[in-house]
Formats: sequence, structure tokens, C-alpha cells
Amino acid sequence: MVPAPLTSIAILGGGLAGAFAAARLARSLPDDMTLTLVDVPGAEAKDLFFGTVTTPAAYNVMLALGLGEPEVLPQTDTTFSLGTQYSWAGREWVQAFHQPLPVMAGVQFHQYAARARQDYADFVMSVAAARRGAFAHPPEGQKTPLAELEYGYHFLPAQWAKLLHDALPARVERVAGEVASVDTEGETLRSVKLEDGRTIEADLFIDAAGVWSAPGSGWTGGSMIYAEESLTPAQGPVGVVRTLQQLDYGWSATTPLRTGTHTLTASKSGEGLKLGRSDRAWIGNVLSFGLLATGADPLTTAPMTLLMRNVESLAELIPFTTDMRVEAREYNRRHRDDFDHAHLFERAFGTEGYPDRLAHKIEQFESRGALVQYDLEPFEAQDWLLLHLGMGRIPKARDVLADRVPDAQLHSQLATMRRAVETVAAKLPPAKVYHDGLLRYLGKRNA
Amino acid sequence: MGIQRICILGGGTAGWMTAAGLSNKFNSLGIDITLIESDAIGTVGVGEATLPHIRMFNQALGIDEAEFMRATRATFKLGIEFCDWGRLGDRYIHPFGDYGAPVDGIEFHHFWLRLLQNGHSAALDDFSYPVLAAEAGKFRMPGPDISRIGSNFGYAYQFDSGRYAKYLRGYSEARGVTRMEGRVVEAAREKKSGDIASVTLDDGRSVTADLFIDCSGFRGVLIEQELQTGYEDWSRWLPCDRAQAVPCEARGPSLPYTRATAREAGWQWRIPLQHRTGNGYVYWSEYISDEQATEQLMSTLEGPATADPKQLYFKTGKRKQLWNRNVVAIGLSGGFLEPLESTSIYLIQEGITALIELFPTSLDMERDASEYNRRMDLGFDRVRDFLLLHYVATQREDSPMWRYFRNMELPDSLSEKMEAWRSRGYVQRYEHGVFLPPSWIAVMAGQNLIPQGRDRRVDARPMADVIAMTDSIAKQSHAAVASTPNHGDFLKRYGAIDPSIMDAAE
Ligand SMILES: Cc1cc2nc3c(=O)[nH]c(=O)nc-3n(C[C@H](O)[C@H](O)[C@H](O)COP(=O)(O)OP(=O)(O)OC[C@H]3O[C@@H](n4cnc5c(N)ncnc54)[C@H](O)[C@@H]3O)c2cc1C
Repeated sequence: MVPAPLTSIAILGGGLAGAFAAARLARSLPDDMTLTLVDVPGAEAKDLFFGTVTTPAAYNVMLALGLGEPEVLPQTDTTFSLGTQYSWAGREWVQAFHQPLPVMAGVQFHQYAARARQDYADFVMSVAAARRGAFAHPPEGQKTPLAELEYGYHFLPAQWAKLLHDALPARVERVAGEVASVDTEGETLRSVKLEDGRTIEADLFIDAAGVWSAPGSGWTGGSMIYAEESLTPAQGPVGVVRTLQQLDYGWSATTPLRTGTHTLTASKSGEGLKLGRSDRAWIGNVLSFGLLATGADPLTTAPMTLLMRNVESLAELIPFTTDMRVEAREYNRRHRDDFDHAHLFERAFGTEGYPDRLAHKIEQFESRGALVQYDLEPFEAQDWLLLHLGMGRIPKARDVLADRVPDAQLHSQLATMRRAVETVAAKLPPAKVYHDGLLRYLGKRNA
Repeated sequence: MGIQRICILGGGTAGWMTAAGLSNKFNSLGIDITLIESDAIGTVGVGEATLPHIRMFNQALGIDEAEFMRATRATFKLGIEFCDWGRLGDRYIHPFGDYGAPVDGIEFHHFWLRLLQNGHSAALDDFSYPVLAAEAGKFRMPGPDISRIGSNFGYAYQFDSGRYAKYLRGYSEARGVTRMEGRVVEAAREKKSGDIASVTLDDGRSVTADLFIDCSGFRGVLIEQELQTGYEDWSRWLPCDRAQAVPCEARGPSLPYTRATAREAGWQWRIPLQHRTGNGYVYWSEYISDEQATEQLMSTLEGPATADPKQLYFKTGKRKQLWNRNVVAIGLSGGFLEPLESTSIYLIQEGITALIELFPTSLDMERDASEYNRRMDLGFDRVRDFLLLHYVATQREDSPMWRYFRNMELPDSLSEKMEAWRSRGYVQRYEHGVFLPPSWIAVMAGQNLIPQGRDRRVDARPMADVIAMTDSIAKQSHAAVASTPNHGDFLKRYGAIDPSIMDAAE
């Protein structure tokens, strides 16, 4: 029997995950498919666990949804982010977004910095700008250290969810209501009944509200995280990084937004989320999506990075027919790999009890500064490098080839690079000045 | 104290590539490199088709391309033509390059699939400049702007590997590598660590070193005969176990691609060089005798043989640890995968690159070895799956060998990949490994695995747009080929032809 074509998709849950999925699918589906977004009240309650920082990848993701900076910046409190300033494990560092520094004569840059006993971070444009609380857009196609600046965003999940909702094309049918019951058969969710009596049917359900999952999905992880948030009005943005401090139990982060300072404290009270990931997020015709399938600690940028990756996997795997076993298997494989790789990064904030694959990474770094990367990791080699250095992991030895450059030449080259970064950083405007100016310009342009 | 002395055992392609790579990097650091080779034992003397990566290797050595091509009598290679793989009578080219270019992040082949699945006739080859150029026997360099059709492709070489080794020997000796002739008959171990301390030659000389690179070929003189590292046997998946190789006089214009023709008990290669054509038959001895293989091989040569066929024996697989104690196995000593996709020299190169990147910082090299082995194992595994794909993505059932493959239980990694392709044209990606999605697409589509579905996002566009877009790419590809010179002319103009061949021809 030839399986029927897939013609309808319903997304359950209007939080940030549901909104992202809806926005992406609305732009990806052929005209003859229907897309419904069911706004299940309360589905956004846990959205604070997406954290407040996105990586640079968000720029392209939002742009592809028709939401460039001219839309995002004026309509929300979003600000530019160069990363996170951590006070962690008794140490301080800026975990900055950045491009890898140049490989010179076949040797990675940090090996030379190590040889010259200099701090790698001093050569990173984003770090230099972050230390001064300064920002400007990196110019395209110019040879200046500023072109190396990489930035993401500070944002509020609720604001981005609203932004995405408001921009949804008319093809998305929008419904709101509490789920009263579900009609299931085996691994198939036939329909969802809302309290007002309406019935939502679809060939594929994307469940971002925890409505239903077929038995046997399995879960890896298990501990809970609790968090509370608050917003203090301020004439911001007063900085260009999130600052995150370790507490006796958990941590607390402050994020400079346009009209206020946001505080997120992950400790013993507040909203709770189960950390870990579903082993098979997609079973039958239900894809469990968002924080309930992918519980990452907002200590790092993992929650948003994983959301963006999952949205991408989904868009690439929109099923062709109602037989979607291949799609489910492939989605689940990607989902597991992405989460597990991101999780290694989070575990690297610890000082012991490393899982094998992380232990290997740390051992290789500590023995010779080698940066081991597995396939398609969400965190890249340069992220790992700053984290290792930040955590005080010092390679015992360095790349033998780094010794080929004569001392004098190395020192003068490094001095030149360092000076170039400092000179540019010194000329950058404070983040607030730049941000205000940009908004004024956009305001005039839009008027 | 770090590594002071390196001993490379073996002077085949692997040995001299290693010597060149290491001397280029470590010569100025005062590290002493000795290479031992035995004229009496000789080299396998085959292995003439390469992958585009070799250009990076040569570039890192600072080698001039035209000079190198003259010295090795090389031709350009745009891909491999596969004959009779899907069904008898089929043929396709696996090019070094993408089909079309992605549109808004959607891989191009999904647009092709939409045409196909809607009853339009569309050949995937029309969207590949390197395929069309190869078919036409043409070649030029890719331009700098890779976003242009006719520029986003790679190329490799077909060369005389004996000459390549000789060329690199000159390069290495000029950078301080000491060559010793003789047969290694014994190895002495470090008492405490069990590492290899020195090797002794048949004339009594001995070489002491901190690090040994075993490039001794199939024997694995150090990695296996001495250290007994063990071999992972993959002949369950890739059962061909013998080969015969024979060069012959070239006929017709020199073609910018290698050919691999499936036979009933294996497959046959054809590699065109400037001065001759290399041929060989890789087969499974269970289903064909050596005599029959010789007969088949010799009866299909395009010109008179210029030497007797050379018989080779092997077992596919790889050493359990490619780096064990202070011995790194590079080349045939490390493992063998049949040359269907020209991967051996590439794996040699990978081995050298990884060794340079993980070059021991002290005599305690266990950690370096563990990362080296992890990386290389992954590389070997992925090549294995890709090779196996050629045998199992087929409709052939005309001989016991092909029936064997039909009934084979595949590694999960491969069967999942094939199923995802068949159902929706989806290609699983990975980051570390040589064959990117376009290679998988070339082989699967070329061997008649046509997907039932496609990426749904292509359906969000009007059909007319898809037709216009694909038409335009096909036109651009053909136009780019029309203005491309013949391969032979290009070789001449580039100064790549060995003058002694030119003279002989005139
Ligand atoms: C049939 C066939 C076809 C191939 N086709 C291709 C192809 O198209 N493309 C590709 O990339 N690869 C191909 N290969 C693989 C390629 O030929 C080899 O990877 C390459 O030649 C490297 O061989 P090697 O240097 O490791 O070993 P060898 O060429 O065997 O060299 C071994 C060296 O070790 C020395 N030696 C051995 N024992 C001792 C000792 N006791 N004392 C001193 N010296 C010793 C020998 O004298 C020799 O110098 C093919 C291989 C085969 C078998």
C-alpha cells in the first residue's frame, strides 16, 4: 500500500519553540499543505530556560524568517552580545564569540600565544571590545581586526516569540485553547480536542506543549533545574556581554537589554525543568519539540543553539508521506548528537566526573593544546579553546612546530597583532551609544 | 626531551611522501630523519590515481605543479567513470565537484528530483561542469570565483607513482633526509618501555630512533611482525583479495578521468598517463582463478602491454592500532582498501597530516597515539562504507559475487544512509571524512537508486521557477565546457608534458 501524502501539520504550543517551528515551516511548506498553530496557554511558562543569549547563528536564522535587525532591534529589547563574562570555579573570563585566529605556518594561533606566554584572549577582537563595553558592526570584506568581531544577541524569549508570531504569514491557521483530550491509536495521534470543543486533526503534530508522547520515547539525563527571572528598568544597554556568576548552589546571570537589566537565577526555587534529552523525540506522527524534549542548562548558549538546530533538522525533514519512519529516525539521530555534543560543553564547566568523550577532549588539550572536535558539534573549536583557558586548563606542552618561528619574529608579530586589536577596540563607541545611534537611524529610515 | 631522530622504514609512495612531509616541517628544528629502503624487496609499484587533496599536500611542500607533472608524467583527473556497476551497460562519472549549487540552503539535487518526479527528463550530469568536461575530454583550471558554474570543482592527478616517489626522494634528500639501502632484519626493544629502540640491516648497520614510521608495505615489518598489533579484517564486506596490474601503450587522446569497470568477479581499472595507460584487475579469488583473471585483463587492453602483469595479494582491513607504542603505520602497512575510489594515497596523506599535527612533544606519546588512532579509524571506516556502497547499490545479479552482495547484511551506518536517500533524497552529512554528499549522490544516482521523495521545501516554489533555474544552470555548465580546451592541449600549454615524451612523439 502506498502511504498517503502528508498534507497537514499542527504545532501545539505557542511558546518560543512553537513560534520558531511555525515561522520556519510557514516559509518551507508547499502551498497545498496546511499549517495550524495551537496556542496552548501556559506552554511558554518554561521559556526562561532558553536563556537570554543567542550565538551569531541567530542572525541568519532570523533573517531567513524575514526578521532582520531593522525589525528585531526596534520592536524588542534585543541588544548585541559578544558573549558571556563568567565568574566561575574561582575564575573570570569572557566566553566571546569569535572566528578562529589565523593558522600560521600550519600551526594554530593559540600555540604561538602559549609559546610566547601571552594570553590568547588578548588577540580576540570580541574579547577586547567586551572588556571595554564597546561595540560596532563588523565591516564586510575589509581587512581590519574589526571584521573578526562576531556577535550574537541578548534577547527575551517572550519578546522573540511574539515577534515571530506577529510575523507569521496568513497561511498559518491560528487557534488558541486548552487541550481537553487526545485521540490516539498506537503511536499515532489522530486528533486533539480543545476545551471549547474544537478538534484539531493533522498528519503530523509538533508538540511543544507536552500534550502527548507515545510510550517508549526514553530519556537521558534526569536532574532538575530551577530558575527565576526579573527585569530591572535601566537606561541600557550598559554592556555588551551577559555576566554570569557561580553561586553556592547554581548561578545567577545578568543580561543588559535595551530598556532594562534582566536577571536569571538558577538555584533552588522557581520554575523547574528536567535536564537531559528525549532518546526518541519523534515517534509515530508526533515530534516532541522544544524544552520538553531538549532540556539544556542556560548556563551556556546551548538552549537557543539547539532550538535553532532542531528547527533546521525539522525543515530539512518535512515528511513526504504519512510513513515518516525515515524522517523520525534521522531527526532523532541528529537531535541526540546535537544535544550530546552541546552537553559535553556544559559538562566542561565542571572540574571532575567527565564523560569519556569529554575526558578525551580535555586530556588532549591539557597534554598538548590539541582541540579535538567530533562531527558537527554545536560548539566550535574556538569556543572550546576559550572555555578550556577560562577554566584554567593549561597545556603541558605545545606544538613542536610552533618553535620554528624565531623568537624575535614571533614577538614582533604578536605585538603587532595585539596592538592592532587594541587600537581598534579603543576607537569603538560604547555599546549604548552605538545602539542608540543605530535605533535613531532605523527610526528615521522607517519613518 | 622531545623527538630527536625519526626512522622511516620503506621507500614506496608512503615512505617518500612521509619523508617529504616531515622533512619540510621538521628539518629546521634539527630533527634527524633516516629512510631505509630495500632494492631487493622493491615496492608494490601501483597506485596512480589520486584525489584532489593531493594538491594541498604538494602545495604545502612548495612543489611547482607543472614541474611535478612533467616529472611524474601526470595527467589531470576530473573524476572516475564507473561502467557496468548499476547494471551491465550503465555508466556514470563520479566527479570532483557539486551538482549545481544550493538554493536558500536546499541542496540542488532536490530540484532535479522534483523535475524527475514530475515527468520531466533531466540528467543530473547536465548540472556538473566536471562531468561534462570529462565526457568531452576537456580540462582547465577552476577559476577563483567558486560561486560560478565551471569553477566549483576540484581536480586530481593520474601519475606514475614510481616517479612520484623518486621526485619526493630528491625533495627529501635536499632537506636533509638520509637514505639507507638495505633490508631490515631485526628490531631491538627498549627494555623498560617495550618501545622499539633500533633496527638492524642485513649488512649489520643499525639505526636508532625515537619514532619509527612503518612504511614497509603489506608486511608491516614493525607494526605487525615486531609489535604484533593485529589486523581488523574487513573482507566480509570487501572480499576482493587479489589484483593484477599491467601497463599498456596508450591509444587515443589522453582522458582526464580514471575508469573502473565492474566485472563478474571484481572490477578493472584504467588510468591514463602521459606515456602509457595503467590497467589492473581487482578480483575475488573465490570466484575467478588467477589465470582467468590474467586472460580477462590482457584481452581487454587498448594497446600492447609494455610489461608482464604483476600479481598482488591483499586482505582488506586495517591495523587495530595505526599508531602503537613508538611506531606509526602509514601506507599499506596500516591497512588496505581497494583502489576503487583512489583513497590509498589520500589516506597516506591523512596519516602524515595527522602525525604532523599530533607530533609527539615528548617520548611519552601514548596520548598522541590515542587521538591519532581515533581520527584515522574514523577516516578508514568512512572510506570503507563508501566503497561498499558501490557493490551494494546495484541491480546486478549475473554472477555469484554480485549475488553475494545482494544478500549481504550491511553495517547500520550504511543501510540507514541508503534508506534515507531512497526514501527522500536525503544525504546524511558528516564533518570528518573524505566523501562529501555530492560523492554519495553521484554513486547512488549513478547506480540507479532514485529517491521516491525529496526535500519538501522545493515544492514551496512555482514549478516554472524551478524549470527556469535548472535550465539556466545546465546552459551555463554546457557553455563553460564549450569554451574549455582539450585535455591534451591544456597539458601541453601548461608545460606539464615530460619533454622526453614530446620528443619521442615527434
Ligand atoms: C592493486 C592495487 C592498486 C592500487 N591503486 C591505487 C590507486 O589507484 N590510487 C591510490 O591512491 N592507491 C592505490 N593503491 C595503493 C598504493 O599503491 C599504495 O598505497 C602505495 O603504493 C603505498 O605503498 P607503500 O609505500 O605503503 O608500500 P610499498 O610500495 O610496498 O613500499 C614498501 C617499501 O618498504 C620497503 N621494505 C619492506 N620491507 C623492508 C625491509 N624489511 N627492509 C627494508 N625495506 C623494506 C620496500 O623496499 C619498499 O620500499 C593500489 C594498491 C594496490 C595493491
